[in-house]
Amino acid sequence: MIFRQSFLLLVAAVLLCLAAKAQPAPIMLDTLREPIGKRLKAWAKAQSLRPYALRVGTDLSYWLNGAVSAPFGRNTIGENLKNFYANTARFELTADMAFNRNKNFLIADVGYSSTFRERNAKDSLRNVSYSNTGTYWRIGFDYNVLHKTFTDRKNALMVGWRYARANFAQEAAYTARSTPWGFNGMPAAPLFSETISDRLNYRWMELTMGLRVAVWRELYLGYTFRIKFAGRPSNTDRLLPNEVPGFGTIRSNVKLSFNYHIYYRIPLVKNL
Amino acid sequence: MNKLIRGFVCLYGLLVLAACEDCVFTSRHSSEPIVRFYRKGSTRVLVPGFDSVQTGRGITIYRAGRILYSSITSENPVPNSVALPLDPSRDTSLFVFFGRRPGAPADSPARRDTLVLTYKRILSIVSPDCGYDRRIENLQIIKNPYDSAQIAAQLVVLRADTVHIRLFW
Repeated sequence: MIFRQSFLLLVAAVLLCLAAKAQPAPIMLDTLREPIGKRLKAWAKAQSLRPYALRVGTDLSYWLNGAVSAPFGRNTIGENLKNFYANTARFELTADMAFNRNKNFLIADVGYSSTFRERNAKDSLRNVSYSNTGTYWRIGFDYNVLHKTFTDRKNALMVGWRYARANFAQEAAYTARSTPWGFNGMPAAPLFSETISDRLNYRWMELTMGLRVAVWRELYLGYTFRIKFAGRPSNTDRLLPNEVPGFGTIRSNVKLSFNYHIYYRIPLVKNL
Repeated sequence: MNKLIRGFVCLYGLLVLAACEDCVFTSRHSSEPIVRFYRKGSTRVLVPGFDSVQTGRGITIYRAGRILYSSITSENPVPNSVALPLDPSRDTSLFVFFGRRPGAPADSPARRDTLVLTYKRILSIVSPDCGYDRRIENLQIIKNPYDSAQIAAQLVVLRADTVHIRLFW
């Protein structure tokens, strides 16, 4: 009997030893903190990837320009800008998704632009018309440089980068004289007139700086200052683009512009 | 917050002021390449000795040493050269040279030489207010009656003493 009990005790002791070896190290104060810290970090990381708020809006600058510039503005040959804005339709939707508690943003814009401009001079050799219709989009990211200052996690002063692309159709018509080739303006040999159409796409990059300010509850106003770096149009055949939807007129390799926006913000996380 | 909104309004004012369009533009592009003639193996420029030069439409553009139709070079012609106004309606232009070749003896027989040029016409609207700019790119010779030819500039741009085509014989 004693032998049997001793044997059982020995087996129990061996099992206890094995079990003891399988146990974690003795709980110390420091190691107790470490898993919690790691867990907190993992939670914070998960929160940084979690969408914090979605802001959707539209560009006001085209409408504001039309309302303010059209009645008073004049172009370089003295014409009122009213006609220009009457023949121009532009619309842009913009959205940003905040991550990491209003620190990082993913940005997406889509827009439409249609413009028709012409010069009707008494001298038909000076007549020119140009139309341009197309869509564009931009994607990019922003960083809120004042995320520590704006503790309400709503307003933002952002710097960022964009990649943009436009697809558009353009058409130009003009008149020219060339006496050596029989286009001299006489009834028997009228001036040479030509209309050129083209479909293009155009890519460009932007560096941006912008502000988003809550003006009433979840309603925001914002502006974006853009430094646009011109790209090259693809498939250019015979007509170089005068302007590109979303980019504006192409005259130099770098272009500056402002956009004003109105936004509505949809919080996606509460009590963070 | 009010400061931010005031800042907004000020920035909009700047935007309106910056909306002006500038129309200062000077184009150096031309649609009249300049041709000069040389004896083969030499760099000495020959005086064009043609009686006349006609376009493919039969209109005379050069006669007895005088450029008859040139929108740009008639006031400041490049010495000893012929300006060939290109057809604005096509990507190919044909020119016929009548008379003696440049530098040929006075008793040499009159000839009829045909030169055909091909090119790409590019139009850019500077702005509908300012107008348009036409430029000629990728100028090539596809029929040359002389011994050899050289395109000195594929983009037809006007500069002092610029020559676009050199013809040798």
